[in-house]
Amino acid sequence: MVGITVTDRHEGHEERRFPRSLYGQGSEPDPRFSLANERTFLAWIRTSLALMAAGVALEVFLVPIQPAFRLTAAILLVAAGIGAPLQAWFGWLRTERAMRMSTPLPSPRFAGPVALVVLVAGILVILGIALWR
Amino acid sequence: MTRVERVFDPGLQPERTALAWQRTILALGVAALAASRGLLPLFGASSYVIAGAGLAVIVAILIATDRRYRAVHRHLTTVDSSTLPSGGRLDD
Repeated sequence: MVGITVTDRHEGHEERRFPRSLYGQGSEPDPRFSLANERTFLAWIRTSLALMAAGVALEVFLVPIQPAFRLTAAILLVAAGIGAPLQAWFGWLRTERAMRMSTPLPSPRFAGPVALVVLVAGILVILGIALWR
Repeated sequence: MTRVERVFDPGLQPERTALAWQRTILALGVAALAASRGLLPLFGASSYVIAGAGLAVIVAILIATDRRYRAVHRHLTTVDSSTLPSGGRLDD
C-alpha cells in the first residue's frame, strides 16, 4: 500500500505511546498520514464545540423563534455536539489501526447520524422562524 | 524560536498539525471563558476562579502542543523519519 513503510528498527522497543493496544500492532505508517489523521480528529472536536455552542446560544439568548422548536433544536444540537467527539476518537483510532495493519480505511460511521441531527435541528429552526407570531 | 534547518515534509504536515492543535485549543479556551462568564450570575466571584483554572489548563495544553511539535520535528528530521513519536509522552 502506498505510503506504508515497514520498519524493524523498533522491534523490542517498549511501546510507550498511548494507546498501547494500538501502537503494539502492525507497522509504522508514513508519519504524514498519521498527522493528517490527527488533524481530522481535531476538526471533529472543533465541530463538536461549534454545535454545542450553537445549541446553548439558541436558548441562552432566547432567540425569537417558536419556543418549543427552539428548545428541541437546542437539545438536538447539543446532542450532536456530544456525539461528534465519538466520531473524533473512534474515527482516529480505527483509521490509525487501519493504516498500521494495511487494511482499507474505515468509513466515518458516526458522521452520518451527527449530520442528520444537525439537519433536523436546522429544519426545526426554520419552522420556528416561520411559526413565530 | 529554534533555528529550523530543514522541514521534514514540503507539505508542512507537522506544522499544519501543530496549528490545528492551536486552533482547537483556542476554540476551547473561548468556549471556557464564555461559559464562565455565563456562570457569573450563578456562582458570583467563584466563576473567576473557574475561568482562571480553565485558562491555566488552556495555556498548559498550548505549551505541551508546542513542545510536542518541536519533539516531532526534531525526531523526523534527525533521528528517524519513518516513525512518529506521537501520543502523550515526549519520548526524546
